[in-house]
Amino acid sequence: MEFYNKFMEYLEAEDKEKAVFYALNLLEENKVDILTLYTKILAPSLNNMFCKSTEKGVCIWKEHVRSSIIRTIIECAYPHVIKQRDKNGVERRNESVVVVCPQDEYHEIGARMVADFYTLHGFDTVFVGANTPKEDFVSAINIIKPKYVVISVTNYYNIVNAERAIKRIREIANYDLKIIVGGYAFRANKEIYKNIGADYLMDSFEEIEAFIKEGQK
Amino acid sequence: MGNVIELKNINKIYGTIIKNQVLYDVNLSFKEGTFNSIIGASGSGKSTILNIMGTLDKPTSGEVYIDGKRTDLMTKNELAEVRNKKIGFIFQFHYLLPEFTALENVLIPYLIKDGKAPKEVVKRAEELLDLVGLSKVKNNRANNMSGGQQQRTAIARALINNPKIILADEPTGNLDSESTDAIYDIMRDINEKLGTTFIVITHDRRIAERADRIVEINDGKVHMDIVR
Amino acid sequence: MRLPFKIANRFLWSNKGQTLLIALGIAIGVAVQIFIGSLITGLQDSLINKTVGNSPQIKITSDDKYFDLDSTSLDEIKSIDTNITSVSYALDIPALISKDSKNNSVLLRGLDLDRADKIYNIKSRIIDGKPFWGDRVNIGKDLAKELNVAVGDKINIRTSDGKLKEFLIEGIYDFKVANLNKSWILINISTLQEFTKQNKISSIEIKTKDIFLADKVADNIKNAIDKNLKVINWKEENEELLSGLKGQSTSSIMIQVFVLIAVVLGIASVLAITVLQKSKQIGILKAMGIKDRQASYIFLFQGLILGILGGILGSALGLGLLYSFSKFAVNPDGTPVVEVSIKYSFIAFSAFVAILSAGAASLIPAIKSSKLNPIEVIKNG
Ligand SMILES: Nc1ncnc2c1ncn2[C@@H]1O[C@H](COP(=O)(O)OP(=O)(O)O)[C@@H](O)[C@H]1O
Ligand SMILES: [Mg+2]
Repeated sequence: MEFYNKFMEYLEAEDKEKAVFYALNLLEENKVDILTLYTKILAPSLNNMFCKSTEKGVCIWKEHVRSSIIRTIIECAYPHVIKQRDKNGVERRNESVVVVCPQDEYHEIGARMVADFYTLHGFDTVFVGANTPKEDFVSAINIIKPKYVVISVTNYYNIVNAERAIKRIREIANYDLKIIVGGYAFRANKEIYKNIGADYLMDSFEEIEAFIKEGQK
Repeated sequence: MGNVIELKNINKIYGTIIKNQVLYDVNLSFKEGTFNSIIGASGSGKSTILNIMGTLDKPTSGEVYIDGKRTDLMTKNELAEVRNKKIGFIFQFHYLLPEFTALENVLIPYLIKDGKAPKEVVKRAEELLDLVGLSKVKNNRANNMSGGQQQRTAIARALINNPKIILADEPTGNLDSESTDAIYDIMRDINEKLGTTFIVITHDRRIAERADRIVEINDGKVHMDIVR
Repeated sequence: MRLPFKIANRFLWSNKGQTLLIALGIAIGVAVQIFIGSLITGLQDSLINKTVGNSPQIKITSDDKYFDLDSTSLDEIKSIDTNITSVSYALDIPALISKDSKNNSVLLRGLDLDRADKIYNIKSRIIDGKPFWGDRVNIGKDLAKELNVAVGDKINIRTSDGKLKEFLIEGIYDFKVANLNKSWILINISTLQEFTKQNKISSIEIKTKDIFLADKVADNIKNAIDKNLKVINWKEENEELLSGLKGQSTSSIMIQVFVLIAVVLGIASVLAITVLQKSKQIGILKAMGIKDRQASYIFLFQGLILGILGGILGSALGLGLLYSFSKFAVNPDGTPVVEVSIKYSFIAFSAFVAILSAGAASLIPAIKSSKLNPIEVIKNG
């Protein structure tokens, strides 16, 4: 894909200015929509970036720089998300989704993209952020009363923390709340979501889309 | 590759009058050449599992296979031999013999096997000490070394007989984070270079999250078993 | 075997104070044993020597007081038992001696100088003058003093049946026994026979190589000679002395046994403590695959090393004690109070027993260590 290759060129050069403007221009000129930008350009570029635990140093530094570039793009894409939702004529649902990364999970870009995704589909989306201690958001659950809580886990160790968070949410929530997990950590552990008390595992935007459509019926 | 360790339906009950069941039907196996961590709250039974795998402890019921051979029915002498040749132990309290130097400590598992260490073996012990970064203090008495140095000596000692398996129970339990990283790097290095299977109990997420697999033990059961 | 020895050695040397202390304990035990043993043996030896060393151990006499000596039979008697070193014969006649107005009752002992010398060491006992010959006699130093006579003086001797003769004093002897020094007058047997018109003898006197076999030799002689003759040995005559000595030996053995028990208990308890002290190390070694037997050798070797150390040290100490005792515990004339007998075989034996008992004492800790379960150590830090 032409756009992806071009974008990667800037990203690999760690040229923040060019990368950010290139991506935002694609949106402004309607060359790509949000979904395509996220799934075909940003997500693959992120996934290409994981460092092996053995090659440290430079690689980790690069990962951080690139993550920060992508984060900027996503932040700046928010108006386009709203614009696109309205343009698509999506009805507001009066349902909310809370997106969170469990304690010690600092990889938040995936979670941000997912949050925008739910916004695109008419949800009130609350992105709580990275490294969220469970006590900090469970208290808000019964006030916000989200329909779904999405927990994004990248580092597989944090599945352990995700489980603790889920357990706590279940203890606190006084209504039927669905918990969706997703993220890189579950790739090699497709079945583990059942053990940790989640209702669904969603690994791709297509799956999320299908799921939302299913839920609308 | 095959399993180097296999636990089948392991139950462990302490006490005869007041029974205290610590492990419930644990089934676990570890593939050769992998780097595994075991996590879980304290008192959940991690050490008990590790000690059963290391033939230091016996299960109340169930079967233990080390390198394909069933060990829970072996005699004490046979077990001693299995431990000596196939397993290297690293404990939290390093457990060196304080009366001996670092180099001598590293040689002891070999001496248990063979009585006298030929030149090549002494050289190998020195290389191992070099690998763990201790060539300078190899002739220091064990009790004249820092905690991190002692732990690295223990790692070298665990390796001298080229075991297939290294069992480590909180090896970085009382080390600072710098030493912890150093110890992890050494263990990982050995795992990759020599294909030694590592099973490491740890409270340290920096070690757990870098393992190939995390097994979480909870109340004597395998609660979660996740791979990278 | 090599590794347990190496470990035992290192364990001992890593705690020098404790090791030296226990080795010293064993050494003192060994030294006391050697000292007491040697002292008592020395005492007994010198006592027996004083009693029977310079006298015959077996005597042949007759109920008829006097009997005929067929001179060839002396050699026959000697050939009865290989233990017999010398055979002599004697004629004893009681008599009175008078000098000035004093009368002393004495025993005239008619002897064959060469034969009797092998029993009584007469020649070396003469402190003044020469041994008796012809009608010249020897008297004891106490009698000489009492009678106030010296070599070259003459004395009158009267037998109980009234025969009287004047004899010249040729020499004065000292048998170190006042009783003898006062009463015996040594004289050539033929001279005495002539003087008393008595051609018979009163006893045959026999000396044996091993004085404690005298009773056996006496039995053999009894079976071989004329049934009318009586054979008596020194043991019969000195039963009291012997039972006294036996009691002394027993108590000396008791002392030695108790010293030994103390040593064994000392080693056992110290080693039992070291098992506790070293239980961590044993646990580690077991986790690394040392076999129970090898683990127990560690303590066995520790016991043996301590025993050897203590044995050597103790032998040296014991020898030193004996040496200084014989050097410093002396009579005014410079002779030792007790002639201690330093027998190297006994010292070696004591040291060996110490080593052996140290080995035995280490058995309990050795067994204990072989039963130690590594898991206890690993768990309890
Ligand atoms: N010898 C024993 N007798 C009785 N209970 C024991 C014994 N050893 C361990 N336990 C119990 O077994 C449980 C598991 O212990 P352990 O395996 O050491 O846990 P962990 O290593 O996960 O902290 C704990 O509750 C502990 O109290
Ligand atoms: Mg433990």
